[in-house]
Amino acid sequence: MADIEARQAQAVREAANWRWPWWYVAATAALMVGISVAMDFGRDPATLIVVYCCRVSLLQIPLAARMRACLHRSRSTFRVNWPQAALLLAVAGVYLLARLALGAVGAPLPSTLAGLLMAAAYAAGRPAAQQMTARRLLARELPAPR
Amino acid sequence: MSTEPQFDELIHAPTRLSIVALLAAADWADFTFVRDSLSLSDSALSKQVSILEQAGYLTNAGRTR
Repeated sequence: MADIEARQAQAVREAANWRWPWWYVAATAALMVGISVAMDFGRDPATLIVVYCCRVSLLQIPLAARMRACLHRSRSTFRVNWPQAALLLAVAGVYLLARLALGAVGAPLPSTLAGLLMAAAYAAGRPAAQQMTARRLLARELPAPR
Repeated sequence: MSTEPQFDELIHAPTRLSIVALLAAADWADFTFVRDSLSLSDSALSKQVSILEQAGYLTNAGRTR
């Protein structure tokens, strides 16, 4: 029984130790900036949102190929993964607030500047969200030391 | 018709039990991860995976589920 638990813990540790690759974070941040710049130059926001969603979905393909183990869904619930969702909501909030503030003071290229802030917030917050998720996963799934 | 639980000798072998225990936590796992975690050779793991696959314990689709 102890051996079975140890093997399951190996799979959990593998999933917890997985790190988002730098190129994914860099590509997502670049995409955020690119879309923000395009918005300043009068492109249709709805089209840009579709482009953003498609590009992010495309990035998932090489991302999945880098993983060595994917935990069963019952082990990878929202209770574990909520920091990832919180990060995305937070960076969206950064963009909206920055854009509103920059627009109010009449700054040039408000969307571009807000996009840069959003990308910086994303790049800075990604490791923290990852650490929080890994900690929650290990605390929830690994048996307590005897 | 009775459906009494039966002990499956096939899964009792330590290596196969370790593979199944490791995979029980996962939706899928890469071949190299299972091989490295259990310190097996490629051929040894392939053989055990084939046996487990034939018995219906896992599916091997490049990734082992």
